[in-house]
Amino acid sequence: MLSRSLSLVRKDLLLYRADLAPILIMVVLPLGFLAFMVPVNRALLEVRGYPGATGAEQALPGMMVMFALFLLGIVGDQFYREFGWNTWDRVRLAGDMPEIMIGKTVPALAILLAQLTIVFATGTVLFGMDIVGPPLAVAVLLAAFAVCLVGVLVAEFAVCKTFSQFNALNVLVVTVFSGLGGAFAPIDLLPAWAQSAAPFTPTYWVIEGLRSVILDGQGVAYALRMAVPVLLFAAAFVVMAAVRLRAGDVKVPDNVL
Amino acid sequence: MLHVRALRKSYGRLDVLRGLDLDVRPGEICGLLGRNGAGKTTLVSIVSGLCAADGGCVRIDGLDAFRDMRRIRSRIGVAPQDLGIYPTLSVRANLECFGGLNGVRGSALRLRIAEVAEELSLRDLLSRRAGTLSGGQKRRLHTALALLHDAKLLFLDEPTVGADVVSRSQLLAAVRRLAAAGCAVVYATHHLAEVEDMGASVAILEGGVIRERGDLASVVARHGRSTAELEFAGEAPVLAGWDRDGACIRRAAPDPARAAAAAIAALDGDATRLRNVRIVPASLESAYLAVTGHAPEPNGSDMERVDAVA
Repeated sequence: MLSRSLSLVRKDLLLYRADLAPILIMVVLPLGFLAFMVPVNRALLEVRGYPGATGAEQALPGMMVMFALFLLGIVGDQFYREFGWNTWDRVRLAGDMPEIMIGKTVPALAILLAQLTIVFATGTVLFGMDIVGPPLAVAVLLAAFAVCLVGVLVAEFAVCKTFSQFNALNVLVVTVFSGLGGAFAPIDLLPAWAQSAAPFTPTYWVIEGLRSVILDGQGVAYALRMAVPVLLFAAAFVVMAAVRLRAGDVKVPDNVL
Repeated sequence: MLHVRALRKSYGRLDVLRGLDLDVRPGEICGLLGRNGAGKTTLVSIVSGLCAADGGCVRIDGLDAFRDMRRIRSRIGVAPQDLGIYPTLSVRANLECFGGLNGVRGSALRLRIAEVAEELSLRDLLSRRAGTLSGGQKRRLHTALALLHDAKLLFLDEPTVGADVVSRSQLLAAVRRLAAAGCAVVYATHHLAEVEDMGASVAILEGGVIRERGDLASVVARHGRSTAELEFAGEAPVLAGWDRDGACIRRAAPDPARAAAAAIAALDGDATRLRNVRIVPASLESAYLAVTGHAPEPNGSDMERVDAVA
C-alpha cells in the first residue's frame, strides 16, 4: 500500500509542478491585499494598545487564512481533472480508495502548508512584523490549519458532483469562514450574532491563535490548545467525506485540458 | 485464467449482462465482439473491479474477483476504452506512475519502460508531454500503461480506436507477443479484421450473453455464409429475400453467384443503376451477421430486412 500511495503522491506533485501558475497567484495575491489592509489595521492596533504594531499582526493571519481557502478551488481542480482525463478509473484499477485519497491529499497538504508558510514568512518580512511569541507556536497553528483545509477539501469533493458545484461551495465556505473567523475585522467588532457563531468555524481558532501569539507572545502550549478545535473540525470533515464518498462515484470536471 | 459464470448487471431497468459465461485460457487471445452498448465495456469493468456485478461469479487465476481483487490486481492489466493518460506529464512520467502503481520499481521499471517503449514505438517520445502526442501515439501510450507489469490476464477495450495504421499494426503485434508469452488476452472490439489478423478465438456478445464462442475457423464454419452483394447508384431497390442497406442489397446463399444472377434478372428498370456486384466468401463478418442479425459496426447501419411479399 505504501509504495502505491507513494507513486500516486509523486504523480500528483508532478501534476502540480506542471501547472504552478494558479498556485503562485494564490501566494502573491494575499500579499497584495495586505498592502491595502496594513495601514488601517495599524491604526486599529494603535487604538487597542499596540503602539508599535505595523498592522500586519492583525491583517496577515486573516488574509493568509482566506487565500488558503481560495487555494482549495485550485487544488480541488486536481481531483476533478482526473475524471476528465479518464485517469481516475485507471488509478482505481491498481489502487484502493484509501491509497488513492492518500495520493491526492498528501500533495494537497504539502501545497497548502507551503502556501501558508510562504505567505506568512514573506508577509512578516515585507511588512516588518515582529512576532512576540515563539515561531514554533505559529508552526503548530499553520500545520493544524493545513490539515483542516485538507478536511474541507475532501468534504467538498465528496458532496459535489461537478467542479462548478465545488467551486461555488468553496466560495461560500471562504466567505463564511473568513467573515466569521475574523479575517476582515476583529471578532469583537462583528455583529453579536456573528460573534456567537465565530467559534463554530475553524478559522476563528486559527486567526485568534495567530494574533495572540504574534501580538501577546502566547506560547506553544496555548497554540496547541487552539489547534485542538481546528483538528476536531478536520476530523469532522474527513468523517463526512468518508461517509459520502464512494469508489465508483463519477465526478464532472470543467474545461479539462 | 479467466472464468466468468452467470454474470448479470443491470443499469436501472436496462439489463446489460444477462447471465454471461466466458472462459479464457492462458496464451489465448479472445476477440470479444459486440455492437456498441452490447456490454463489452461493462464486462471489462466488472472483471477488472471497477464496478460491481448484480450476480454471477468471476474467477481470475483461481481467485474470486469479487473478494480477492486486491490480490488479483497485480495479475491483470487493463487498457479501458476511454483514453486515460495524464496530458500534462511526459510520456515517461506517465509510464513511471502506472508502473509504480502496479508494483514495478527502480531498475526493473526503467528496463520495462525501455522494452515497452521500444515495442510500441514510444522510445523517441519519452520526454514529450503526453498532451502533445498524436491520436495514435496517445493510444499506444494508453495501451503501454497496461503492459508494464507482468500481467497474466490483459483486458484491451477497443485498443485501436483512433489509431493510425502503423499504431494499429504495432498494437496487434504486441498483443500477439504477449499471448505467445502465456498471457491471456481479452480483446474487445468491433473491428472484425483485427480478430482475424490475430487468429484470435471469438466470443460474440449479444443480448447480454455470449451467443457464440469458439476458435475463428469453427465459428466461421458454423455460421459463416457466402454473400452476394449488389451496389446501386442511389438507393438500392427492394428485392424479395435480399437485405437492403442504403445503396446495397445483400443476400447470404450457398451459391451466391447464382443468387446474384437471379437478382440481376429480376431488376427490370433498376438494372441501369447497378454499379457493382460482389461475391463475399464466408467470413467472420457473415458469421457475426448470422449470429446477431445485424452487420458489425462501424461498417453499416442496421440492416433493413426485406421479406418476400406474398
